[in-house]
Amino acid sequence: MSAVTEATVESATPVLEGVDLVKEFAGRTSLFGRASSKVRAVDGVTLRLHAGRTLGLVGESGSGKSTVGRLLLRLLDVTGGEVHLGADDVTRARGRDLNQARRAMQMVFQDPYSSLNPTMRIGDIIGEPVTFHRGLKGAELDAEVDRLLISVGLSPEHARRFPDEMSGGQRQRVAIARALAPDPKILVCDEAVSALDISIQSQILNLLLKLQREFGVAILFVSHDLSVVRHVSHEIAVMYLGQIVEFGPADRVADSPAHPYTAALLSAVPEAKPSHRRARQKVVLRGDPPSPSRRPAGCPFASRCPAAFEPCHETRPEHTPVNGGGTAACHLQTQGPKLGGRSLPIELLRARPDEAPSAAD
Amino acid sequence: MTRNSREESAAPTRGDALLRVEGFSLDLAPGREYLSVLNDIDLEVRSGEVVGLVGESGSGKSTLAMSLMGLVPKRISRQRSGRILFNGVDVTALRERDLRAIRGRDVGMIFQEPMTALDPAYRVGDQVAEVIRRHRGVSRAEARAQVIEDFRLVEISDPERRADAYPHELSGGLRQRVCIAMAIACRPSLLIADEPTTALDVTTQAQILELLRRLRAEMDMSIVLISHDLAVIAEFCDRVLVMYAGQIMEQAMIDPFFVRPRHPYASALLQALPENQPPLNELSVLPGSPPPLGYVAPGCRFANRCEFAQAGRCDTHAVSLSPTDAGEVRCIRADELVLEGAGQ
Repeated sequence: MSAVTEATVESATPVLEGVDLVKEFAGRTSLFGRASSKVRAVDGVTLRLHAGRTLGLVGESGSGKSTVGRLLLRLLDVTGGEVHLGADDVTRARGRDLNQARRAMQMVFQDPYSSLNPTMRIGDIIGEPVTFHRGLKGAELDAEVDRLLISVGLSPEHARRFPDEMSGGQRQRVAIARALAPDPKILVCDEAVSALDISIQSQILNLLLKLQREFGVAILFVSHDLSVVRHVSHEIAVMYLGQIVEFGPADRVADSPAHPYTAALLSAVPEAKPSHRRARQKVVLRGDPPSPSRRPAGCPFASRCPAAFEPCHETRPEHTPVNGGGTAACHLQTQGPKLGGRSLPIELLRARPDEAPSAAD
Repeated sequence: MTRNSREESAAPTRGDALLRVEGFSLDLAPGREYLSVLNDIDLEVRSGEVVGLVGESGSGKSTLAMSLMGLVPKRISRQRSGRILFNGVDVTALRERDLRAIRGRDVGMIFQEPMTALDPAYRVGDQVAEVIRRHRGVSRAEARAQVIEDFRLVEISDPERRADAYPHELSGGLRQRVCIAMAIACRPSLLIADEPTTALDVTTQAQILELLRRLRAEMDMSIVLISHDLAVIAEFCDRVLVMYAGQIMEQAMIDPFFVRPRHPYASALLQALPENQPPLNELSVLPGSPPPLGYVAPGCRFANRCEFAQAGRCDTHAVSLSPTDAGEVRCIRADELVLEGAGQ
């Protein structure tokens, strides 16, 4: 698969780029110690992050979205493909070069209860990366920690506290302050608001929007929650079984999806507004995604796609441009109904009457 | 769908109160001291009705769900007042042995994490069969036959093979289906579902909600759905109860609630939803954090976070529930305020 994001309107150089990323994990070893088939968690993913913009990466569990985030930050080594930080190829950077690269790329994790060391004071949690990456000490360091605390909506007094003296929302603010400490260009947020209560979630999302406006940081926002991704993202990439199946401007992807999986995913999101609930056409997918160790020859979504026809089971679809921006990898675009860039008519996804409802593999 | 083994309990007709909680207050002692966790809860679930219970962490919604079936351990809890009537019987006055007879038979429960609700060391079919045998006293073969039938009912394909699987061999969605099969094995009149789809992917969540909707219609079952997700409540329930700091702040029919909530807390929650603001714009924010377990206040418990609170009025006087067009609300300013909801 190639050049997923080629169609993006952005012409500026990306601050971080993953090209044709592949990640394989060793499969389960058998009784006699022989490794079985490898699991391909990420299968040819290309994406680019731009300064001051957010790319939302959505997918369900096992889609490989978190692995993509970790490959980009070099927390995992790639099996194939390249990671470019600005003009530098950091795919195989080690030692000092890697530390240098890490300064520019930071991560915020889902659970602020396990991502902060409970034996360290907040001031040290935030101060450590400031010293490590920027060499500040003493009064300079203290001033910088205060500044970071204030920038995430906490106060300098919080520096003396321990994580367990703070609420979940406050802890996530600390985690964000720590990520900002090295003055990064890129922030990867992996399900960063998923564990938070609704009232806290909106506070943290506002904080991320504000920090992006102020510091121009590029954000990769990895989440399963489409309504949240829609809200914070400029572009959205949809992953299924290790591949990006659709990419494009956030409003285009969310309002007129071109890939059946995106359409099904959007229709499965519950709606609070009564009028939306009544207006929406529902597509309920059957079954679960196939295991990444037994990947199909054709389209990864073919086994669950209500609109699948012969070519879908045989050849893997290429990404083609979609009207309104972005691309989708779906045979319906070029064969059969030949949508040719149009968004997907929801009628194509209506379950056929002969299909028995059952939860398959 | 015929109802089995309901001879013992007088089946109420549709619309009657199946479950009625009256002035129920409970203290819990997670540490050394007792904390007031549930305060003056009134709640009614009519036959065939789906009631949603929504609240943030620490609001007491799960404790309430556990209390409904006497599942809160007695040695760490203290009931201060009230009663919980199921089919006219006060559950809080029952001995453990009698409670066990009701649980599973008349009331089924499903939880957030199906992996912890199932025993990893036993085949899933055997675990469901055990529930059937315990409550029905049927033979092994009969129980097995019903397991297969129930697995079909919850849309598990290839039920004979799936019944012989261990929990870890099944996907999260299939495990939750097994738990649902177990919960409905005795055709209960009430199903309590505590965050049943929170750990699942969104497409799996849609499948499970559709299944529960179908089962509810076929079996004429009442459901109490506990969730932190307002949109799930909106899609699935007839009525909603909003909990905050151990109290019910508002209860209302679904559509009026989402268009025009009557409690400032409910309104703030609805407005904080991302879909209420244009993308990339600042979200409406409810300041502060949900109060810790056991939080009490002389006046309204939400007053310190409420943008409409009036000093000397809201923070000094305890508020009781008063009737509205669509339900009840616990706010002394409810009649003066016109609040925003999730939009039409």
